Amino acid sequence: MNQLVIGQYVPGRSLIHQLDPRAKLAFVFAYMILVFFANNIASYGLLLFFSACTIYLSQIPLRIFSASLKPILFLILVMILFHLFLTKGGQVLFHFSFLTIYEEGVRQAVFISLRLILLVLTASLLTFTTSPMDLTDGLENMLHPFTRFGLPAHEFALMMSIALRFIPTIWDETEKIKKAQMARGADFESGHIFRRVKSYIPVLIPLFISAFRRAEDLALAMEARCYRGGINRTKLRELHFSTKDLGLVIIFAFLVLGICLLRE
Amino acid sequence: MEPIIQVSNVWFKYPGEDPSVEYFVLRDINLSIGIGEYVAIIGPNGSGKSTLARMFNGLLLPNQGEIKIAGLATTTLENLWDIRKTVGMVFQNPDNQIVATTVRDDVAFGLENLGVPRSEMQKRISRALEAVGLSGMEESAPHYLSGGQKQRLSIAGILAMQPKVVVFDEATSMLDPQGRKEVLNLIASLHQSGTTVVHITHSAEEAFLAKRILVIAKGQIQLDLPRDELYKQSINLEKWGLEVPLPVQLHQRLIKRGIPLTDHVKSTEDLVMQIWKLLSKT
Repeated sequence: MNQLVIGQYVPGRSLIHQLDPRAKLAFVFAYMILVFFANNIASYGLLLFFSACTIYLSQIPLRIFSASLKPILFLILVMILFHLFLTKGGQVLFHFSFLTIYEEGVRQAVFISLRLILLVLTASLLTFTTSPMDLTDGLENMLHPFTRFGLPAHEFALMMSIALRFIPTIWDETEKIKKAQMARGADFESGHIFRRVKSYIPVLIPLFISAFRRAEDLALAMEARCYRGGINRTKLRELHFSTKDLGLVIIFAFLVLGICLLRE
Repeated sequence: MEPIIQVSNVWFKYPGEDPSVEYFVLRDINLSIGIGEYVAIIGPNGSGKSTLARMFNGLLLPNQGEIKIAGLATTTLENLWDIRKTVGMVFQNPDNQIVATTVRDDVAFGLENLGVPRSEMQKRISRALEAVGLSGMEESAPHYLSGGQKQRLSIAGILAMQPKVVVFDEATSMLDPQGRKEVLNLIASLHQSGTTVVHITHSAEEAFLAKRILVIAKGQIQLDLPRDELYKQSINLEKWGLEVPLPVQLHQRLIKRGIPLTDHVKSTEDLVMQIWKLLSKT
């Protein structure tokens, strides 16, 4: 199950955990854009150093971060091979029959994979240190100004939190249906890929039917508890901007300055 | 005193069904429930008991007739929110009525909908969680709760909204024996504290925990009696496809065997007393 739920929340009381989710969301968004401006060893070095600091400050075990990188390992490998053999430019470093590796290819391979790693680490840091409720609350709050243009910010956030609430429930159900079908002789393991994909149909159909039933039940229960959309609603969770969050702005300003000075 | 739930001449059929009489799920229901009562509604599957329950807070509206909650008609749209605030409802499936990802946020959901101020909310949440025995689990994810705990969480979510009536719509039918006991105990203590309780069930055993029992079958109220009186004639429950409680069956069989027990046994305790007396005589 841990593999499936992307970016699980890791409870804690570190400095990063305590930051306002809106500040974190905005920072991560801006930081991810900044990552694309790095183009040499010095600028990547600065970003890597910064990410390492944040990971250290989050007090989350390194192995959790490395686990979050695992799913993209294959992608990174493909990117590296792609750039190594196809990017031309600079000195020839290696030549063997039709394979030629250029200096620029190595550069690109390193930088692109670094960029991917930075992006994934940053996104993971956000989800590891922010509870799903805080995250959706922050998102709702940030999207609120756009409600004037017809964006259903409250509904969007509620949808997200209901989805998060039901992921484990539906995951359990999938396992149950799978076992029930296996007891009737279903085979999910053998055969070529298309056959295996096809063998999941008897799992998916009951799952869908039950999900719709759940949705109906939940809608009824919500209505019975006086739900009527976002109007006149109060919130249990309150978001507070603190001086720590202001610190993020200053740190970001320094990072921008650093990248501007270091990049070529 | 004015009844808290007043049902008069209610007819109901689901949309799209044939308008002839036999397709009506509820046919000319008349019923009134007073403040503080503990009423059980039993009936076989498809008898219309859940449909009736859903009318108590305006989730369904009658085709004919009227339902008044604390004097407010459910058919008037402006009353709907007050009515749902007055009548809380706990449903069958413990999983499908929890909205939020933590226990505390879920209890808060109803309060947020009502627009309760934050400081008041915190007080009510801790009180509701204490009442259902889930204090200290505020941060738990609903996924990690047992069936009984999930159902108690749903009850806490309702209690926090401070309803006058709580309707349990087969709220115990998907629970294991332990969870069922937890919920039934909670229902009893709710009744003790003065809340009006309506317990919809198909288990006669559970129904006999209430003070007043309504038997509903074929869309009509067949019997509406205090527990003690129904007990005497509960052998008739079989007629509507309902199980007869074990002590009643035992009582009838003992009489058939020629054991000299009186016909008017009011409860299990009464039966036990009579058997004791009989045994000590011989």
